[in-house]
Amino acid sequence: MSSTKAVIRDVASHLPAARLTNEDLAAREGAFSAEQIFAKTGIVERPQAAPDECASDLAAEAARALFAKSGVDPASIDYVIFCTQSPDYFLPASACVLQRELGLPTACGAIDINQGCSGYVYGLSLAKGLIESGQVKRLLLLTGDTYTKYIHPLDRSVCTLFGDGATATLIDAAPDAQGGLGVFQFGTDGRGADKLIVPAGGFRTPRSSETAAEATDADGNVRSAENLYMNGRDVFRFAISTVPRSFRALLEAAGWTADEVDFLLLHQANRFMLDELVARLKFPKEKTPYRFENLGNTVSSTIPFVLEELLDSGRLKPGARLALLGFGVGYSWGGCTVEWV
Amino acid sequence: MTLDDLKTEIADIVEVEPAELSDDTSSENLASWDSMATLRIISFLDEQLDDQVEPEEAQALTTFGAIVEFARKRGIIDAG
Repeated sequence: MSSTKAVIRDVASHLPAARLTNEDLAAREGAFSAEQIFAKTGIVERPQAAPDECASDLAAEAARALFAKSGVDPASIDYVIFCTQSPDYFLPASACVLQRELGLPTACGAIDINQGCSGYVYGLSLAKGLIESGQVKRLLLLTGDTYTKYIHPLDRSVCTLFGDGATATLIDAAPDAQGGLGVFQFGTDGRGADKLIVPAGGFRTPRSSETAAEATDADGNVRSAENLYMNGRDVFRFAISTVPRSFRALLEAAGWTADEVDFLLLHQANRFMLDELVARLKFPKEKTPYRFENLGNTVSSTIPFVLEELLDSGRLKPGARLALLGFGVGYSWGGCTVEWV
Repeated sequence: MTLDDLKTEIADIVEVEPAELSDDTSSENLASWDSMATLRIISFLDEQLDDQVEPEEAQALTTFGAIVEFARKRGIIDAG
């Protein structure tokens, strides 16, 4: 029986050049002051893709940074997964465009997965399945989104929170490795589908003059049906009731106690949500790294952004035990354990 | 969980000592029981139920007494 393990070898990232600062937001009509925005979100600035800059462009740059950092030859990649909710086209898959863009071999599998804040965990799960079943030896997992393109500039329920960015993770088959990607735990509640949504633009509700019409809600936020909508109260309620259960289920599946977790990597929604979750989980704050101040909520990229910082700062030692928990749009959530090798 | 466990959790959310909670304690007579505390209470009950409290049920949970009754009815705390 094969004992090949899927192991994370390296992580890199890329951000667009432009930044949306709290001062920029405060200057918009009806906005809070820059200080109020920081106090509420913990976010200083949000990277923002240029009009002609797509999520796949950001992901391609993240992949190039990964190749440069790890010394890995793109020709050695035999599968690429791109997790995005802001694809280049309805079809083809952006991963196929990325295969050409990155000079990956034609003998390379390529798929997009459409998941948001749980997407990195889903990507790792697919990577483990492909590698440990012997189908793939070296996999490139890309995450990238340009949510800011969905956001109306006068909808402060979301424009203060989201940023654009991309990450690239190299996952290798490692024969007889002591560790690697561990157990996974998933959850879905489609009752939350309309709580975080871009309602128009697909086939259910195609774009039209009606969907482009802007309206102001009771809180004074402006959006059309083609913009991102978030019911913050319901999403918050979902997160703080679901994540503790998900964490307990993950620990049980792994046979770990909470004390045995060296780092808990939570989806970086915003400081308010993270502080609430850390309090609810009764988990040590120093073992729950934050990285959102200069990023905002970058959807499926938030967890690998944290992982990158842990890795680059030398805090991740072989044998370190990590728990990753992503949760959000769908509602969808997923957790996994990693034993660093 | 026991009634005392529930009392400790709710007291923690509304920032009082457990002994200060009575059946009549509500957002009307306790300043620290604000809309955020209400949201935390409903989320706590969601977590315990492993499901979402229905909106009409959630609207009725305005006093500590109503929360205890709900928790008994739904098996979150031992009946008795």
